[in-house]
Amino acid sequence: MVNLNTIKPKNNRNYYLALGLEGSANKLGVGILKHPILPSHESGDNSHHCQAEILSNIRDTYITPPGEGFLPRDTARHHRNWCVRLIKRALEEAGINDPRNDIDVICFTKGPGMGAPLHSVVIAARTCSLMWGVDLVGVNHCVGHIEMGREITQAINPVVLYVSGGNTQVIAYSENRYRIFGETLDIAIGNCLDRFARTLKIPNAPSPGYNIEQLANKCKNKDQLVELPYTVKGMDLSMSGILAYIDSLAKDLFKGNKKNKILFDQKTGEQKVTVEDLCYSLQENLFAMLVEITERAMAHVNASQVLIVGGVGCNVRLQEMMGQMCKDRANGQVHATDERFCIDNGVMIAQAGLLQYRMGDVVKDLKETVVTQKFRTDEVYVSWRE
Amino acid sequence: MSQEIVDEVAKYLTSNIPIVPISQGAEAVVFTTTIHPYIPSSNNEKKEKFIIKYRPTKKYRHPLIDKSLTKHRTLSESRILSKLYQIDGIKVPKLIACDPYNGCIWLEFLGEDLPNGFGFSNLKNFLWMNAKDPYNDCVKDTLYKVGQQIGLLHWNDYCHGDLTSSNIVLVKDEDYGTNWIPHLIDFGLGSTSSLVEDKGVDLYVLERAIISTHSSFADKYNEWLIQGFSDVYKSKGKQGNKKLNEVLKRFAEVRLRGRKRSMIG
Amino acid sequence: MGDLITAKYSSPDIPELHFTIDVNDKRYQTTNGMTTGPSEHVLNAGQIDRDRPSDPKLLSGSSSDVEPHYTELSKLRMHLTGLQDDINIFLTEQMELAKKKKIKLHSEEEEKRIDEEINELLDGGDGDEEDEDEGK
Repeated sequence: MVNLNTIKPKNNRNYYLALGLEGSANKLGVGILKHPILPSHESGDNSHHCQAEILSNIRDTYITPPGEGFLPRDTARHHRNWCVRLIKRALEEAGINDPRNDIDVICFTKGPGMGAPLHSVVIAARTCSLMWGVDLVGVNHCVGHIEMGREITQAINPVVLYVSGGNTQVIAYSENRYRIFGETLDIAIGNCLDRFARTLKIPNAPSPGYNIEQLANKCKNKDQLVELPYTVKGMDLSMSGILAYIDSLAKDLFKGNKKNKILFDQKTGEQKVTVEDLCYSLQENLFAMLVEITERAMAHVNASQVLIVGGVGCNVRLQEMMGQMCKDRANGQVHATDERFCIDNGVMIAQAGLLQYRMGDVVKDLKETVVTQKFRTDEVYVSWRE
Repeated sequence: MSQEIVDEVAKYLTSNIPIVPISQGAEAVVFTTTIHPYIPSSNNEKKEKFIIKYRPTKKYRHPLIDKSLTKHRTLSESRILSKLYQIDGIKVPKLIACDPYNGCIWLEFLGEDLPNGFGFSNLKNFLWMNAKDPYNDCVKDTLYKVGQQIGLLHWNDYCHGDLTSSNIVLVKDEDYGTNWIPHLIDFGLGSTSSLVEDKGVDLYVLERAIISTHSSFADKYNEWLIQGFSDVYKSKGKQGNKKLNEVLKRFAEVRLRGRKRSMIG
Repeated sequence: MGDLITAKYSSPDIPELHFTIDVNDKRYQTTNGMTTGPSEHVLNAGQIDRDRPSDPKLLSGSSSDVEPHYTELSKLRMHLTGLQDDINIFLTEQMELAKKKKIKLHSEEEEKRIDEEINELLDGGDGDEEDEDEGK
């Protein structure tokens, strides 16, 4: 029996306040979240329905020049030098003057992610905890995405497609764990898009994937496709071969290699394919694969709901394709969130962390706050669900 | 399954072929019918059932991708099934007809309904049915035989590509009433391959499917599967033992790769 | 005013080392460290650095022209910046030394592995993994 109300909020308040700190990749996020105490939480599986109120949700992204990826040490520096400013702004926006008394718990990302940036943020979390005397909770980044997605969309027990710069997984809940049914066998979808964006030397702001999406929208000849490898393996998929292939096409296009018969008409020498066409074909191909493995997992576990989370989840075309797939299944429903929650943020860490806190899971010794680059979704014991 | 898809199939098959929908997989919808595609129905006195597996148009994906996948997978599944059917010891449904451009194949009907509402007799439902006594002899015998089927498949250089407990159908053994004979179905992602990597991935996919679907008993279940798998190779002498070691070694590597895979937010 | 911050380094190979600061030395009077700037690589690619740490805060009434007086927190930040520089420089030297030693003892392959490990540690890794980070 799950009871989310055993741990009482500070000062006999009738609500909880959590501060969430996220910095596992190039986004630094700080969020403050409020959960009212609800009678419905005394028993039963209602963790998707916390009536969470977002008091602040602030994000700052470390952006590199076109053609460049983000290095761990520069990303860590960004987080280090912005973290305090962001926390101050978040507290101010939430109207919190006295964090010592007002905040019940500080939630930080324990992993997975890039080592150096994770270290930067956890130091801020520890400092605030010691300074204010507030409890700490370490959160799995992926579980943060899932719980935020469930809370926002009210999806009770969806198959989750988690798509971001570092992850591509199809997840479903069973017996107190978020179990991974399918995943990438090599690189993540976001990484694939980011790296192609670097080859194209298009800007990294606001995000490389967003700019590929815009280029794909501008494709003039959507009836045609550049044929790419289609590499679904059961519920898993692989993308490195596709990336290598489309990268080589883009390079031939920039070089004007007329011998390439996919790109240039062999008789007239006329260019047949544009950068926009490549972006369009890449998206169509990759997303078809994602939707297919999601549908496989749905069929396998008899689920009717899908929840898309992670940075790539804001892609409108992906959401549209997933929606179409669901329409063709009995009672199929697709749930997605917008960029405030899809893209890494502090509120999602607060949401998952507050659920953990309300189940009595807090850091008892600072030794437990060591962050880790690898932390699989299914390692977390999900005590707040039946 | 949505009415739209049922209509699409009914239109393709015409009203002369009555169909009863039984399941919607990810890729295909499956129906039963009593009509054989080319033997006159007057010959079907026993009211024998057949399976129609239809790959509907997937509207979510680009028409060019859809056409090419449907054709390719229908054709390749038919080819693999017809070849596997001829191999001694391998249990797959018999292929009756194939229409790759429309994504349709006809197969012999296998399996039955499990008692007490546990649904169709695939391995998944069978294991769930036995969850109260998860390690009984019948479960062990069945999983061992499933392992043997995969062993035979791999020994003959075929890979399934999508091994899950839903893709294994259990058929009652007519000679020994309580035993089940596992049949492999759904070769849409199947391939011929002599690569150790493909076999390793195949085993890994199955192991993960067992872990995620039958979590509490997965260790033992996977052990029995691998026993059955290994015994096929071991029965092939020195060469078999050598190949078995290669496959199992790669399987362990693939598993390690999976666990170690960095998961950067 | 409280005690000045210190740091201690201990390892089985070398005698224990203490890092202390000298408040009059320029390196402990800035929040912009020598070793904590953006990497050359992104600067060469045209990065505009907007991630600088903020300057130390002057006490109200103090002027930076004469003898500036900073808030306690800003003093701590400046001290920490210098101390971090000292530690970074020391650790880099240690790594170079370790690398040289190892090169003498081992093959080129070893060297590459050590280089990778050092990079991994610089990137804040756990020190026991060898995978590729997203940004590379």
